[in-house]
Amino acid sequence: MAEELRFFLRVALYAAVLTVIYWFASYNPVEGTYDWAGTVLLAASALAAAAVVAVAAAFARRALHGRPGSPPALLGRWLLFADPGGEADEQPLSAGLQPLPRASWWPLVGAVAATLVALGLIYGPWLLLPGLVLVAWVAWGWVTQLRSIR
Amino acid sequence: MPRPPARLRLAVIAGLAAVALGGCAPQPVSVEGEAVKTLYDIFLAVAAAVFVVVAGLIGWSIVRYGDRGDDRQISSTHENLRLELLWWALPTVLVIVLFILTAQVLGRVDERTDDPGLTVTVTGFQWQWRFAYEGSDVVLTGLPGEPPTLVLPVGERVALDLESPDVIHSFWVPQFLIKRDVVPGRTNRIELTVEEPGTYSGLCGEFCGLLHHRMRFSIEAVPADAFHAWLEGGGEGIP
Amino acid sequence: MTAMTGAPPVEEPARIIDYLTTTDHKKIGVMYLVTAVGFLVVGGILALIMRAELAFPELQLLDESTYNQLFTMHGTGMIFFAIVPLGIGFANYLLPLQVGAPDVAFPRLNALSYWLYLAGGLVAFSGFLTASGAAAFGWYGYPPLSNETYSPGAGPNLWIMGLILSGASGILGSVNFIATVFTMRAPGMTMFRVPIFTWNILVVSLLILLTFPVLTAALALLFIDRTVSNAFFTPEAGSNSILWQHLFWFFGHPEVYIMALPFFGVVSEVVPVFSGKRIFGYRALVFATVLIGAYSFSVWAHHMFTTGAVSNLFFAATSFLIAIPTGVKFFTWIATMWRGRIRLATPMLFVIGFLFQFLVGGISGVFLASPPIDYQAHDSYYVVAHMHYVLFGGSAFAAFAAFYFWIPKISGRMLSEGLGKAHFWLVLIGFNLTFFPMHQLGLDGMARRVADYPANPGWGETNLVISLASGLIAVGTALFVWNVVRSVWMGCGAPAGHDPWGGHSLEWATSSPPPHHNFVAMPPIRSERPAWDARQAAAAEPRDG
Repeated sequence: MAEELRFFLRVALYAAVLTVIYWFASYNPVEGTYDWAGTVLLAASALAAAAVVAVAAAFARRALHGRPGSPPALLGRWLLFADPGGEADEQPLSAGLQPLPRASWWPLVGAVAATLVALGLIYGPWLLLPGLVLVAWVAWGWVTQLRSIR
Repeated sequence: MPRPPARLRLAVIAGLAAVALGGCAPQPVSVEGEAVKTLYDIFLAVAAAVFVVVAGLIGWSIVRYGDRGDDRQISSTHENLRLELLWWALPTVLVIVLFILTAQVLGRVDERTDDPGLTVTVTGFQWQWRFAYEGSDVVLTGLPGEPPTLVLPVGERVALDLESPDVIHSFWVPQFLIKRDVVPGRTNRIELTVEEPGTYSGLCGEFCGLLHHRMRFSIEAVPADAFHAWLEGGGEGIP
Repeated sequence: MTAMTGAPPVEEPARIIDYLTTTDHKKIGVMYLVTAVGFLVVGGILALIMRAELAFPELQLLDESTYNQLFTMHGTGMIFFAIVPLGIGFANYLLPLQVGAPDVAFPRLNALSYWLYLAGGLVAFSGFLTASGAAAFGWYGYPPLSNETYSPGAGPNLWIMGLILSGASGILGSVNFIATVFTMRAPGMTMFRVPIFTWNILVVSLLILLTFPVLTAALALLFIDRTVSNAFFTPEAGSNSILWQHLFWFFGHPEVYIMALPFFGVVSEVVPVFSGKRIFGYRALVFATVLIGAYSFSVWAHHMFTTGAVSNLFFAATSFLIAIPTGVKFFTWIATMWRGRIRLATPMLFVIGFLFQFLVGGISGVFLASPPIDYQAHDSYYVVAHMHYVLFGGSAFAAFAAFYFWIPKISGRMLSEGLGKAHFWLVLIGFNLTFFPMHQLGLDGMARRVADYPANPGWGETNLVISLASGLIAVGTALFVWNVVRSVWMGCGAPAGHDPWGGHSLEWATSSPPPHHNFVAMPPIRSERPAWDARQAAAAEPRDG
């Protein structure tokens, strides 16, 4: 298992242990109650970290056993074999570089769309609806731009 | 070497001055406040020692190892297990000691008796206080510009039940060294014994809206017999 | 949308349109830093207005309503839109460089993070433009005060939406940083060769990832309470207002470390470089960083000691624990300086300021971790002093150090040392005169968040000194802004060269400013300080022609 997955695994284990300790420590002898809020939050943290491990591990399995070149397999390799091995010597990086995304308007427009939605929730549908339409447009533009880069 | 000792001395004096200025808790007038004050003083002594040692080390390294353009050898040590174990151990021991002291004082300050001599229901509301004495009709309510006075007996254990009908307030008497939130939907109780007769000021400690800063009250601590006479007399005026 | 189909970027002075559409982590980092300094200045101005009001007892300049908006937006602005984004901004610029990557893992997402942050800040502050004003319930917005009954109007709703937008920005940004550190390190850059600054950002990203969603959820619930009907945080609805405090501080305490750790990282980078030594106890420092991050999940209710609704003993114990790894960091920094050769250039001066002031803030934090002492100090000026010693004397001082340290890398121009030193001394004196006396005011019974205070003996004089001293901070900060404008914008600064300080990490092994893909050639990475290794190797080798 890659070091990176172990990192999240440790977080999950830590949060799980903390959840149990907290549940007992939160007992209030005067009112005879335990604190649910903190316990649930800690448990959710443990689950969130565990979910990262589970998803990444699943992709890693696909990388090892799945059809090479399929997107899950690529993602899996990327997650699993992340730790760069060996020593690097003077080597030009620019040669082996993947192309960086070109300039894009979508992030700015996306933030404007999100702002419209946020303000629309306050001020009403006349702002919310255009915001949602813009969000949809940004999502479409974002994904199609990704294809055009590849 | 140009005068590092003088600069060092200056640094140490500045450090001590800083700690001395770091604040003293007010003179407590209640039994519980006394315990908190003692705890605070211990913390302050430990803090002063820690500050002087750590700040001294920082100051010393800056002065002693400052770059003077010479070709002095730079140490290449970057690990020392024994030293590192020491500085994991030192703070650990320190916080364990502080925690034990804290736990003892916390037990005393938060102690609840089954049957306190006197119970007062303290209601904090935007932006006034109301004090209702249990087992009597005495209710004191503040008016704008006329903060109410909570009359308490000296030397008797008193329970205060804190309640709020609107937002969160906080009952704070600086000279009792105690503060407890006044939370809508729950009753918080504090218990205390006033030791010194006198007039003390109290205030709302938790921001509670527009006129939060005007939400003040006074406490009048009077001898127990004068207090009971006042309470039985219907709580007129201030004894 | 010409830029989307345009030709590959050419190296020429960036135009506005380049910034609007950029996905380059360096440009985005600069935009973060400039915006964060903007909010820092705005937040500082709000504070100066407050100090003007507090200079004398009784109300002179403002009414309560205005004052309450000012401290709410000062806290909100500084925490969410100045200090956190300063850390994120430096991370954006430096993290890919330090791990030897050409950019972050998701460059367009990175741009989206920035724009969401800017939008969030503008939305939150736009409350000042509404009829009923901005939010006025403090930066942690406790219900029921923050619900529709007690805080009507659009200002609080804008505050909620601003924080939700900036929260989304933080979550996306942290995903980006984690993915970059985990997947884009250069060959040879193992996890235990990653520079301390980047380690700190990694831990911060994890804290953001686990806690910002909690804040966002809590804000969404508060918004529903406000706009639909009270359902979550009021006793009338059968719930309780303590629930909000749990949710908020479960985010809010890790948030303190989100604001502090990046700057611990800065200090851990600056101290070795200006001591001419390697960092002492690299692995212990990484371990202490991870430990602080881990502990920060178990201490949230030490903000709730006075509610009577939490286990004070448990949270006291966990809060004390945090002092241990923090103490270790101090000893590590001192050991790094020990028997080195310390150059007192401006970055190091600010770091020294950080060390002394963060020490004070850390020690007063131990007082506050003790519930009986907190019963007195909570919600008083003592807490105001403590938090400013941590966030201003600590984080902001280290942020200034970072600016003086890395602006030569970012711009290729040195900042003026003379102006820098004037800036340092003004802010150092102003800061300590402003915030140190607040410890005593708080213990004596001055509550925080008051527009007015009683004319108790000594309080008027102390507050006057504080207000005057805050002016020194303003002058110092103005000098800093002028220094940057003069040296960078007007181009008066001396050329920096690729490594003006004798740096250790990879960013000092490329040009200033770095090229579009960050590195033309990569030195071998065999330790956490490849630039230093490369220098040693070059010095050892006889020069060939």
